[in-house]
Amino acid sequence: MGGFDSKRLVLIHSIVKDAGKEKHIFGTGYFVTNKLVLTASHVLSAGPPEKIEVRPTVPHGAASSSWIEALKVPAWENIKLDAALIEVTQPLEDLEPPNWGAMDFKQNETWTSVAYPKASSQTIEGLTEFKTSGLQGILYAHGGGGQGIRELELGVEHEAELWNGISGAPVFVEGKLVGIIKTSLTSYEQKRLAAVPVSLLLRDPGFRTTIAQKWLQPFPQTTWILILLSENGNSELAERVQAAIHKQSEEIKRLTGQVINDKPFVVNVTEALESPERMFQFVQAIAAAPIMVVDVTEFQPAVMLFLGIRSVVRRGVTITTINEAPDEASLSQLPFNIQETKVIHLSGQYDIDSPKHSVNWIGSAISSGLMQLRNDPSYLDLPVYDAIRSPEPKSLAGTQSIRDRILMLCPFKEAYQEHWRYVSDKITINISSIETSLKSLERMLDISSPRLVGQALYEGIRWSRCCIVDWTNWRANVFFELGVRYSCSDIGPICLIEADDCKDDKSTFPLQRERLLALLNPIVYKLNGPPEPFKKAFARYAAIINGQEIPLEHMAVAHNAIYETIVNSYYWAQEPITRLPHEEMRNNLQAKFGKDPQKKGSFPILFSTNPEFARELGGNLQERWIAAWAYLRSRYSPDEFTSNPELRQELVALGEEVVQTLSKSSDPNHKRISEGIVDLIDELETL
Amino acid sequence: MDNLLQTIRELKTKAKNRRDLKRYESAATILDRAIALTEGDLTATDSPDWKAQLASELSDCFGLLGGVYRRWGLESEIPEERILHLRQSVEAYTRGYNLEVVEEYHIVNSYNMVNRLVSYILMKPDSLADSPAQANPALNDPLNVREELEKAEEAIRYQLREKRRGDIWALADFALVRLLLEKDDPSPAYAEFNAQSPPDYAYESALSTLRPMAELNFPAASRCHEAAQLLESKLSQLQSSRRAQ
Repeated sequence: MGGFDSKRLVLIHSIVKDAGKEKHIFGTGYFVTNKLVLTASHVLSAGPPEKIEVRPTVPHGAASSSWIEALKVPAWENIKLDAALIEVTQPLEDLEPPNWGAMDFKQNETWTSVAYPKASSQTIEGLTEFKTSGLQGILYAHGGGGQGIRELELGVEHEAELWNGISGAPVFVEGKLVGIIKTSLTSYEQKRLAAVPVSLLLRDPGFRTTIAQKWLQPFPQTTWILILLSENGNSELAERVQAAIHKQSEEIKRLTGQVINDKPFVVNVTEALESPERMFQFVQAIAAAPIMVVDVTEFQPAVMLFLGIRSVVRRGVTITTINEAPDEASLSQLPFNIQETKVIHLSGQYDIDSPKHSVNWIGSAISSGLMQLRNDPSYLDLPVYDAIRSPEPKSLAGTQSIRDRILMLCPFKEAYQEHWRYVSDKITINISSIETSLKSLERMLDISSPRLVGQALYEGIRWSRCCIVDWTNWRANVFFELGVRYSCSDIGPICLIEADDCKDDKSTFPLQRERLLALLNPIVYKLNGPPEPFKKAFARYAAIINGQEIPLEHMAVAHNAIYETIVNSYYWAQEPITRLPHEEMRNNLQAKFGKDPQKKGSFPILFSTNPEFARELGGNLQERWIAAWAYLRSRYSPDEFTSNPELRQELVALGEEVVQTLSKSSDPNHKRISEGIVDLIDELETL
Repeated sequence: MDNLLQTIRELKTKAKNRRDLKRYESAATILDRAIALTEGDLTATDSPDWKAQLASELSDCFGLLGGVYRRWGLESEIPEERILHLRQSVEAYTRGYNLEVVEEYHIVNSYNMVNRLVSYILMKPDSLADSPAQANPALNDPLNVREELEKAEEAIRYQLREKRRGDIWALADFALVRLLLEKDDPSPAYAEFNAQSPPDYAYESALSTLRPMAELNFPAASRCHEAAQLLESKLSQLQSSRRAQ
């Protein structure tokens, strides 16, 4: 891993169509892996490219010609930062990662670069030849700050009339890649350039996961299972799940129509914490996995954190397991957040024929979970999912809004009481220094909402602008809630921990603790010690709110990195709002009344034996079916129904349902609608 | 497979619509298709749960088919056709009933059990006379209808206590059986059914059974007539109150 490597430097050429004419755009790029070229995103932004290709400065053996084609869609792009990664179709030989540099310089430094400026191109016999040009200058340590995104300010020693083409060129300081050039600053007569600091790129989880070695992806197209093992936990869980799938796969296929991938993805929690890239990829897997099995034995903090994330991001099937059957005493000690969940225990006390044998239990839990999920749009096996999507609770004018409270997530047990007194005191006396609109500090116990505890808690976690989380005692609930906050807010929590709890002790999850501390970087305070850690915490919060960059330790991730990862990998198709109106209406009606309501002799709607209510229900059921029909019928032209067999089939099936629902109605309008539908179905079926 | 269930349900809906449009032949053809599909999978599978699910759908298809033939028969103006379709109705209901009684299918229902008796009575009204009628040579398996109705009453009473508590179809069947056995007058017989505030299709269904029974020359005809009037009045109240809204 040295400094600038000419083998990595490329000329980028993209062709875009502009008013029917081809437009050629050139820029500079730098290979950061054997197939990804880092450049400025505006190099690609002139329009949808017809073609993108790169030409390495030094010919590579792998390339059959001097130009290597690249995919037209960037592998990653951040328009705000003006950076992109493009992927070439013929990878180079393996490359070491570049020697990434930081952006906070104490003093001015000399920077160097090599680029393809238009100024150094030559036209010989009508053909343009692009030449590299070395660049050098002063990196102003204190330049590029202030408002907006932090940039590197580069003074240029060269006179240049045309800087076109240098966008995307790598900037080196003392052998480290510190940025990529994005613009020249016209106010300095083009003697200054602006560069994107690579440390900002490294804060972007998308960038990190794109350049990282692929770990869990690609995810299977079929229904698949993600298994999260606890540290030093049950080594047989994966085998048991696999046996359960093997035993139940036919049944699952029959009942749900889904084929289960017979190779679960098994991840030990410490692997998921090995690096930021691993953690981001694991979060992507959590969001993507239709089924997740989590070993919650001992309720280890990172496991609970990931379970908290899962509970926010996916209305899928999530099964929690523990090693031993809980007795009454331990049941009452279950963390608050998962008291409602069904935990499967893996103890060997049942015969293989027993439904409670872990293999059978897991198998039937997966099968019934999938079936219920398919039939019930409100299926949940974890708390949070619906509560976290509630709108912001309204407050009376003049009263404190939920956003203006500081929400404190912390333990409640006796051992923490002294910490609470100390921490709450430090926070309260500094509230005004954080932000004047923040009024009070509240724990879950202090929330005055009349709502259910869980509902109020998750609303608070989502909507409170400032959320402080004290890791002290490493409590399972606190880590679950921490996962929820990381997932649902672009303002990450401010994490604290008491110094004694950072020390390695005899816990069963030492590696997990160490990695959590490195990745999420809580601020360490000393009970009854000096106030500086709290000042640091408030400064961190102020920086987040003001959009300033916070220096990150080597392994640490940005406060909003988990949120950003989820935004970019969210399985949005699970949201009912993404369905077409007639599909949504049909799903809702079938979920409430069943797929074959006339076959059933009883009604799932509570209190529907009330005659007036029953009348209203029956009437509304009919009207909703009519609405679904009216939408689909009028949404497309008659020609589209004629020419598209799938659309036609959909309309016919829906029409039959509507006719059935209206069949016994005495309303003349219903009869008219029914007859119209039947006539249309008859007509369509002759096609 | 869920897709198969979906297909079967779509076929059933389609058949019901054709039946309501009085396109009986088309309805019967659609149901025959659904039955063939379901039977194929029922024979092929070893899974007890799937077998039970398919058997339930299949018995429902037979029930629908029995209903289609019954209406077809009742609307036929040619006596031979009427008898032919009513016999087809009894056969379809009987096939459905034979599935309902298989223990491993766990079907708790009375749809086919009661309706095969209704179709039988419609075909042969004197079968409910005090002394069992002579075997009808047109039928392979003559029924002792009164005995079967007694058995049905017991079975439904049990179902209503257990898994079909508050089930409108069970309540309608129970009321009908009690009426046919002359154990109840219409009003008490249908009191529980009415108390469930059934939808109009449930009233229509009960009426479609009672009306032709009321036309027969057999002891319970007048009770059936009164019961039909009672339910018609309830249905009319239901519909007029909806129109008034």
